[in-house]
Amino acid sequence: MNLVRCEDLKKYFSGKARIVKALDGVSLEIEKGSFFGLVGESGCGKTTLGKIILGIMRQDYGRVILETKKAQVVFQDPYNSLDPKMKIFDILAEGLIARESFIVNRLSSDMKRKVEEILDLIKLPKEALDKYPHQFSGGERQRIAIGRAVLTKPEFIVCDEPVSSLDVTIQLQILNLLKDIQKKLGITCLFISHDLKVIKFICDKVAVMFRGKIVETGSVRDIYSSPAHSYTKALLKAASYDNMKNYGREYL
Amino acid sequence: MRDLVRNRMALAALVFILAVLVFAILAPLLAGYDPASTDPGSILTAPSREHIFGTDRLGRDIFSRIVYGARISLAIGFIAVGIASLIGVFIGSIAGYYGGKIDYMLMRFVDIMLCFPTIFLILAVISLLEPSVTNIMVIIGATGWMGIARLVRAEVLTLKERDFVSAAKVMGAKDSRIIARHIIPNAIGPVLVSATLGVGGAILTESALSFLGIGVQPPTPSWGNILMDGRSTLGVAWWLTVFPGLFILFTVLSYNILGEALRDTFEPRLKE
Amino acid sequence: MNILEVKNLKIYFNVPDGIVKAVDDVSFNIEKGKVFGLVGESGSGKTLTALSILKLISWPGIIAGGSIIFNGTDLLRLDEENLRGIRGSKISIVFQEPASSFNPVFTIGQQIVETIINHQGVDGNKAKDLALECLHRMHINETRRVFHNYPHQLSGGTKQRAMIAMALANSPELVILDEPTTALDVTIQAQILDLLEEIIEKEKLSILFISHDFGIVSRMCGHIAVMHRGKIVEAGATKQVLNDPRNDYTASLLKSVKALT
Repeated sequence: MNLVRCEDLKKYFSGKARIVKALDGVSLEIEKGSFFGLVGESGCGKTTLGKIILGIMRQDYGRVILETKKAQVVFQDPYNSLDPKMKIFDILAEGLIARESFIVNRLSSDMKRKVEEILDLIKLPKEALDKYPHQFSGGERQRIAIGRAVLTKPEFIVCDEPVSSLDVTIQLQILNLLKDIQKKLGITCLFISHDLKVIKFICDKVAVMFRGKIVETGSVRDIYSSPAHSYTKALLKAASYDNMKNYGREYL
Repeated sequence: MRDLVRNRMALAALVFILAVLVFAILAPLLAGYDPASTDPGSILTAPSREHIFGTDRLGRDIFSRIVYGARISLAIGFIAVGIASLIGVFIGSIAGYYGGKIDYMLMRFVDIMLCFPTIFLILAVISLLEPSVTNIMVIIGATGWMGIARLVRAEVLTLKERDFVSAAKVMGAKDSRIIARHIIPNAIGPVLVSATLGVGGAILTESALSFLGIGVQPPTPSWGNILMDGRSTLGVAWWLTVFPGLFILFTVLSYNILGEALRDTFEPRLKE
Repeated sequence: MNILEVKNLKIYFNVPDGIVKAVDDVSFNIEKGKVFGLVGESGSGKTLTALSILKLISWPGIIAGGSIIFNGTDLLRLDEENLRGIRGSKISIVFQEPASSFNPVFTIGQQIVETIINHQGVDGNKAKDLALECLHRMHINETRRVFHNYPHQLSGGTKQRAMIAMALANSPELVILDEPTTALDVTIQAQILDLLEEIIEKEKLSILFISHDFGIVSRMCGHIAVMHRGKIVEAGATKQVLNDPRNDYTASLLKSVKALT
């Protein structure tokens, strides 16, 4: 069954002299429980699509059908996605009280227990709860962001380039954490990235975007082994450029 | 905090500010005399061991008056700035967060307020109402919030684009929660700077008003009205002008220096 | 023979909490006509090492020791005037962010012409011709348009080509490439790497290639050194380091990289 469906989404931005078609008629379906990848280069519209699906941005045309009220997000920049003035405990617990009036800040012991449980999942020590974001590394902050997203037991998470600003060993850690979460909680995920390798590692299906349109959709296996669209082919060729099978230059 | 300690001048300023604060709080203990009690026998006496800052035309001890005057001047400074900050933060956040027509209307209101020469506005209002300490606090505060509003609005404009705000929206947080819990705590930095500098400004304004006779009314002492007394006797009794003048000068200077030092601590924190 | 010899380079940072040894006794040699890669994760010290070659380290960082021998001269002991003569002509550098390497208020052409005039002493017209020729060599289409454009009017890929053109304008002996493709889209990355390969071969340049990406480095470099926390943990022929790493850190790093391929 489809958890998310987009029908002919269009979004325009008025630039200096012309109109930018960030999304030019995008339709897709995300099956419940799957990790759906959205890949494309900068400016293709993938982040805009993510924001519209989440409701942070309004589309100009078309509709988004979400069969769930429980959606969460993980952003790219770990230095920007956590409120620098809040303690980690409050950051993690925010999802539990976000819908209350802003005066409410007391947390029940039940909530406290949930926060501590999440710490196990994201592998951070209990002492972390009293600290502030700037005391943590990029990878740790990203884990906190994931913890925050998962704590409210959402059905759907949008990850927008969650590992792009991390070192490769940390990338692997975070991706494994996400895989772990998928297995344990069965969450549906829209995974946005420009990095084909990362999408291959974690997604089941993938849609390739170019200039506001989806040019190809399919299972990761199919698309990566036999791409149909010329842009997909170009993208794969460029990415395989550094497959480490061609060793450096030996000049005379 | 460490940067502040390292900056010697800022440290000196902070020490002076705290000293004046202590003076004001402990006024009853420090003052040797009742600031209102007159002593016809010691009119206009120069600084001596009994009256370390001398006496005025009515024989009142200047030092005691200055120490009690500190209470008034500081209180006006803090509360006026407090009022200005509250108004400024409120208007600035609403304008910055909602944008569009609301932003436009509020900012035009700010522009209109800025068109008035503050001193004349205050003069006009004070002449209509009576110049009580409360009125002075309120009017200085009500005419000094515009700068803070603009600063806060600028901060809010950048803050609302940050990912942690988007994340909160996705979690279902209402605007009021986002503004109160995420936006304002992060926008406070420049407000603190502005407020510190503002205290100096408020003290100066109050001193000017009192000096002109429309501020704090005698016999309640304020640094400004002590100066006023000293106007006519400048050649003869320099202590009536010099001491309150020095206090005003150094207090305002200290708040300015502290404000600048705070600005240095907050400004470079652009990218971690 | 070696075109560059870095010996015991130390770059320290004076921060409130103490001294950070960002580069801690690093030594390596670059052979003339070869491409040498410096690989490492963020914070390993590779960019600082590259910047120190042209003494571009600014406070609170200081070059605390070591020597960098270029054509027999120790660059770290050279005075500012002589160093300026070398920067941009004998040794040039291409940075990661094409957007911030160009001055936004001058056109591309003006900036390339300026460096040509500074180092080659030719007149304005000749410099303009040379600049256009440089741009053309980078396979930039519409060289005249690009010449008269401001940086913000160009795409990332074109800007990077222009940056490379500027770096090569004065026929340098050594070119330092600091993550030259990291900020670019993957299809553009491939194009720029193709371009670099072609130029390196044609002009027989000596290159110091800095990157965090093992894939790119494996393609471009014959020899590499792996940096970790300010030290070189392993160095050698690319093929050997990648297939048979001797150091634990290198091995685990490569394991992660290969897991994602």
